[in-house]
Amino acid sequence: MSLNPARVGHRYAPFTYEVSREKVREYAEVTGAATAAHGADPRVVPDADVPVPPTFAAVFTLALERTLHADPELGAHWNLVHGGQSFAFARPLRVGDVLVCTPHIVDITSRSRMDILTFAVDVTDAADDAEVVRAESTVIFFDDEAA
Amino acid sequence: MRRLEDVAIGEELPEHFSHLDQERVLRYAGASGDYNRLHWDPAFAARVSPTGGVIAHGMLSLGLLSAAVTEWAGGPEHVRSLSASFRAPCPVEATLRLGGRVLEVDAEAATATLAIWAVLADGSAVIDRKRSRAVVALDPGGRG
Repeated sequence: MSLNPARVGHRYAPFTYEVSREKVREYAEVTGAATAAHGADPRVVPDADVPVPPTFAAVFTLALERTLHADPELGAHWNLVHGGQSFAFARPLRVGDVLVCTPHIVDITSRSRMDILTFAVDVTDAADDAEVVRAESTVIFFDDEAA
Repeated sequence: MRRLEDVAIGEELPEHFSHLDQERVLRYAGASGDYNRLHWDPAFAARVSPTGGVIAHGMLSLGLLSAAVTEWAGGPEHVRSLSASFRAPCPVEATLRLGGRVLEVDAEAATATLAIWAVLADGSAVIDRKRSRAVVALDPGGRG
């Protein structure tokens, strides 16, 4: 099954994501980014002093279940691989951020037996609408839908 | 934060090695919310995986590489951008060698652009150094 090229340009409804200290700790530990601050007592080390790894942005911008796979008109399935990823930061992520994420489909290119989909997520701060990060992902969907 | 005057083209990140065993991959699934069966279900992976076996998340490789870049940069607030091209999947139980090299220093903007990469033990690329970059902010020092 191929993806629907008419979905290029489609913008999904924005969703919010709150950056929480414990989720950041869990992510930092598994990606080799943990520092003493991640395991520290919050009464001693305030949230502002907990470094949020840049790639933590993947946790909310690659939430495919709530975007691509929830779109009945796109035809997304799970026989896929991640082809590329970029993040451009206007400012670092912070524990306590409430972020507004707006995904949209940038491109769909069909090749033999695969579709290459590019989607972007614009992330802004819910408090002041300022830009925080833009994520762009390339996902390769294989036509052979064994999944 | 690294000082502009201390960064030279050709400088390399300290090399890092990471073993991506099944436990780490499962922990990454939980940390990231990406539970695709390709990463933990051998029967599913046998049918659809490009390698025929379970593979680690591309973003786990990039997350590990980003941690090495972030350490070099002196903190996440100095990492301006990251981009990665996933050349081939990393099989579960493989060991990745992670690296980076300064390609360009922009004295006006006080930034360094690094090529970044992740390779398997046989030298084959998981994250392609030709198409993967990090931009890091540097301390311009007295130049203001």
